[in-house]
Amino acid sequence: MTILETRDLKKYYNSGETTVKALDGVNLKIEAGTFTAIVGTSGSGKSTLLHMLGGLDRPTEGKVLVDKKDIFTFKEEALTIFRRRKIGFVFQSYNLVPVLNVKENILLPIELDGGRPDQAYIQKIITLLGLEEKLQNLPSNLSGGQQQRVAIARALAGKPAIILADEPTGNLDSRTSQDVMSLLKVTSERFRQTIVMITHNEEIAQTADRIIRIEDGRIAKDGE
Amino acid sequence: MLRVRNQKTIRRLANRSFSANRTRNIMAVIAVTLTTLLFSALFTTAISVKYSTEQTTMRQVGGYAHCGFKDLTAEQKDTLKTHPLIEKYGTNKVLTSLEEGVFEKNRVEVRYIDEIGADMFFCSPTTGSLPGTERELATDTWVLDQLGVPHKIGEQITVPFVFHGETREETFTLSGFWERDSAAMVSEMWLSEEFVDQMLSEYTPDERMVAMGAGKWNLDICFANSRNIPGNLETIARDNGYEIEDAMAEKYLRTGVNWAYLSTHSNQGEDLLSIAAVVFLTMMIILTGYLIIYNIFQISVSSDIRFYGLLKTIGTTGRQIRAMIRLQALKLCILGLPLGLLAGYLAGNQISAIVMKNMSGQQVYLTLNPWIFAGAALFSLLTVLLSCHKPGRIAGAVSPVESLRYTESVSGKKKSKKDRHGPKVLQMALANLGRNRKKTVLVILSLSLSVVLLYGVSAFSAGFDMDKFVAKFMTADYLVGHKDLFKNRFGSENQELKEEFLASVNSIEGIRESGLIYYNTGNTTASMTKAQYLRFLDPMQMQTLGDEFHALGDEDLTNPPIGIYGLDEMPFQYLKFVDGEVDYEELKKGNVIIQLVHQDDYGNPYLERAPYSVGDEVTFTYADEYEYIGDDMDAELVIHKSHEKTYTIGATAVLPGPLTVRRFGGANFAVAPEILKKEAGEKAVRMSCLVNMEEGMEDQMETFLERYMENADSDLDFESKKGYSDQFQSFRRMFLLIGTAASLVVALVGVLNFINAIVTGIRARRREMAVLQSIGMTGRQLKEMLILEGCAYGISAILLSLILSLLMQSLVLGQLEHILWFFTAKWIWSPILGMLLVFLVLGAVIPAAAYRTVERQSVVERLREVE
Ligand SMILES: Nc1ncnc2c1ncn2[C@@H]1O[C@H](COP(=O)(O)OP(=O)(O)OP(=O)(O)O)[C@@H](O)[C@H]1O
Ligand SMILES: [Mg+2]
Repeated sequence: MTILETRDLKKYYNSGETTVKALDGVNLKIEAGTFTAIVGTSGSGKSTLLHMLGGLDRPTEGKVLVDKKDIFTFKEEALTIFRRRKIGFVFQSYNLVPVLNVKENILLPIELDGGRPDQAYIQKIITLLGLEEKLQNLPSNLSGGQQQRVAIARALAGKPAIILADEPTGNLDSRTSQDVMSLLKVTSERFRQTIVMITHNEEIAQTADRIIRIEDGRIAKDGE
Repeated sequence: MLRVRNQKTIRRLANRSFSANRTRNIMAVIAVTLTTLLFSALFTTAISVKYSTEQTTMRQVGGYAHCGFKDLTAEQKDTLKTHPLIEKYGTNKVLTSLEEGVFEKNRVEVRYIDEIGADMFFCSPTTGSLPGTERELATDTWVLDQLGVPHKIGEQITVPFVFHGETREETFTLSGFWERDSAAMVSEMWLSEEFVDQMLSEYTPDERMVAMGAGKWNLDICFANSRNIPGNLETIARDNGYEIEDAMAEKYLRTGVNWAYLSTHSNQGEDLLSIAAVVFLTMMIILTGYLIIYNIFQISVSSDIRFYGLLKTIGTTGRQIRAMIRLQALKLCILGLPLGLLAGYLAGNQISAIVMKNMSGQQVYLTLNPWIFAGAALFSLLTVLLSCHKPGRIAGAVSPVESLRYTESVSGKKKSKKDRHGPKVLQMALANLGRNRKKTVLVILSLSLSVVLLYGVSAFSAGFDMDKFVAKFMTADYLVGHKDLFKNRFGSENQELKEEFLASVNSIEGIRESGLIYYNTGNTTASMTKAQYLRFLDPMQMQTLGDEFHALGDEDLTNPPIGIYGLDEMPFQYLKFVDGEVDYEELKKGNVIIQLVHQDDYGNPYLERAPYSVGDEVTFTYADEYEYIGDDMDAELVIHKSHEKTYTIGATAVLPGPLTVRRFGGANFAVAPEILKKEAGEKAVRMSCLVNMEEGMEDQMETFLERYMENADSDLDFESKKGYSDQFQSFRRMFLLIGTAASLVVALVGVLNFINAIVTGIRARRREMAVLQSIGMTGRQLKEMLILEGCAYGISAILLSLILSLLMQSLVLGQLEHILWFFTAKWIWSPILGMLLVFLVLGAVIPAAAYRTVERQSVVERLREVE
């Protein structure tokens, strides 16, 4: 079953006289429950693609379908709600809320939705990610790896169908990267989640079900 | 949408991000406090000035009841008082009044009254109580003093009542007393109901007692509010089957409405003006508050834009972000409101006291009206919500991706590569101002607002033309007369200036010239046609004239009463001839007289109201023997003997207001004193004495007059040029004081805004400045740049104010000349130049100080800082 699909997706940025074609006609189908890695050189348009898939930004042209629904037909408010129920984001730069502690950060998306967190499940994630000791800490008191783990816990907490991760291991040493990756795989398998992850790390890319290579805003290579 | 659970989350987010914004919060709380202060000071002043004016009138009238029924029987009183519209009532039963001897000038009303009634009269005993037994009495301290009774409960008082012209003394025990209100026009004496009834059974009421309604009950009423008093009164009467309009009707009841409540309606023009002023000021405060609070939030939102974007990426909706910002704003209100309300209330009371003292010389009655606080809090809240609405929208609408890479965009042309460092710093400074245009515009606007306001206040008060003002109220250095003249109550022989006084005046040194003005207090009429009469007959008075008058044709003759002045040569010189001219020698001959007309505030004579033309022959009828029959209001004049005299109108002239009898309207004429005395005899009364002093000797007269009034004749009073110029100055000072205070608060708000903009601007650019420094910009250059930015704000604000002030000068102040007769528009530089100086100093000091705090961190620390 196709859970994510793009049709002729384009994103152009105008800066003065020049136009940057960050995405230039991307067609893509991703099956539910798979693990896809996106690779490519810096500036090739990976992050832009991921943002489009998650509905964070609107494309210049083309469509993104999540669960067969064209997400850009939604109103801003509805899109946000759709996103927080369906998609979990993990950013390269963690993007934790600096004024909330670890526990509060993790629960935030669920609470924003007015939902009741599945305590047992949350506890399991926290244990898996080794964050029990840090629950009361503010993000600024954590190391980069710890912050990334909190960001992952937050993305998983709402049991989203899709996890979009932008270089989640970029700031981590190789051992921690391994841990984080295996964790992502374990949880995604357990909860049948779809993962799309940008990475520069060949090793990590090799563990994916599918690797998509982006060059100059287009898909250059697609395969296992 | 917002469910209870996520509301809690939003509140937590709001609270946390609130605590993370300390500098902004301090600024915002100060801003909210100031805004609230302005509102509550304004409302306190407005409400307590209105309340005080009302109170003063009520105290003059002698009661706060809304209205009342008069001359009721006991049964009528008992049925009327149960009407559901009545919130509160008091009853009293009149016996008589004391008007003889010591009470001649201040009547004492004598009656039985209940407790609420006494309270409604402002005459509840403050010591002791109302009479409890038959032989007890309560009255005010002034009456006690007149009767020589010490202020002590239990004292024996003998009261001389007069019934049917014979005096009957009765002795009572003092059961209570109170301080007489200085504004009250009559005193009250409360007796027991038993005693009142006993006297009434012994004496059938005489004429005077009947006029007062002796033996009848009065019912004083308060409704739930003072709206529609006459209507409510009518409803009560009608519901009980009575009539209050038609005095001839069988079931007619006499009623009265307290004119303390009516006067507020009759003065609609003035009321409208005050309301307009309050509305205008409210708008100004909203604008001022908006400018700063908006700016504070705007800056805070744009520096936190990443934070909001981040919240968006993890699924916070725009609505939730808006709610978050609103919650923070409300929290600021909770902190800022109470202090602002309190400070504003205190300030408002001070202002009201100053206003009342200067406007009417009366005291202020403080009021703790809850509307002041409710209103100020509401408006303040409104301002805050209004101010954070737009920033909230911006934060809520932020695109998650954009926010991930947000920096203030540099607009405008790319920097040119000049190498001289001076202009480059300036260029960067200007470019920085252009980065966030909205912020810059707001800061400049809010700074300008204070300058424009200050300019308005200063130019307005500078435009008060003292010469115009004094000339209207005073012509000569001094004018002396009976004190009633100055209260517009002149009109009888016993108000005449005494011979002894004139003798003493003439003995003092330094008088250059002096003269008397006589006024005919007798009854004199002039023959003219109805058409001539109608020219000056005022419509109110016309209604009181009987059907006989209305039946007359335009050309039929009638004989209206007229006023005649006798002018000495010295006051004669103040006449302003508007048609024809007569010299004093000719006037003294007695055949030619001068017709007088009034003038408006700008000095234009009301020529159209003059009944005669120059050259007309007129015949006056002087009543030599006459009497009034009936009581005060509808007394009828019966003339026993009179004589006629015919004159020629030699000229029409204006007699300046201060020299007149100080009542507007009617037909008036001027003759020489000898002529008036010859025809009117004793009724030609010395009304006022005009004195001009030698240069430098002006104070002699004032000293003399004050001493004379204190020692010899307390009934005298006087006006002087100096007194009026003092009064004028104090009015101007009051205006300047309040106006400047208001502009200072607005300026404070503006400066706060400015500080906020600079400080947050510097904080937001900490990293950027560190980068600049790391690539070789010196701290000095950086500081220079910041100071240039600061001064650019100040200079722009002044330029804008200059334009706005010029506009105001021509559009508002220029027009005021036509509305305020004592106003002459003038352009003044001092407020604008003064504020320029202030802004330049602040523009230099604030950035320098703010940069200090940045400087404390090393460049590396700042570079590493995570946003
Ligand atoms: N807001 C923007 N305005 C203008 N250009 C942009 C914007 N966002 C991205 N771009 C441009 O779009 C192109 C693609 O950017 P994108 O961030 O997707 O690259 P990336 O593949 O994620 O690179 P990296 O591996 O370095 O993260 C780049 O050339 C970038 O300069
Ligand atoms: Mg990227």
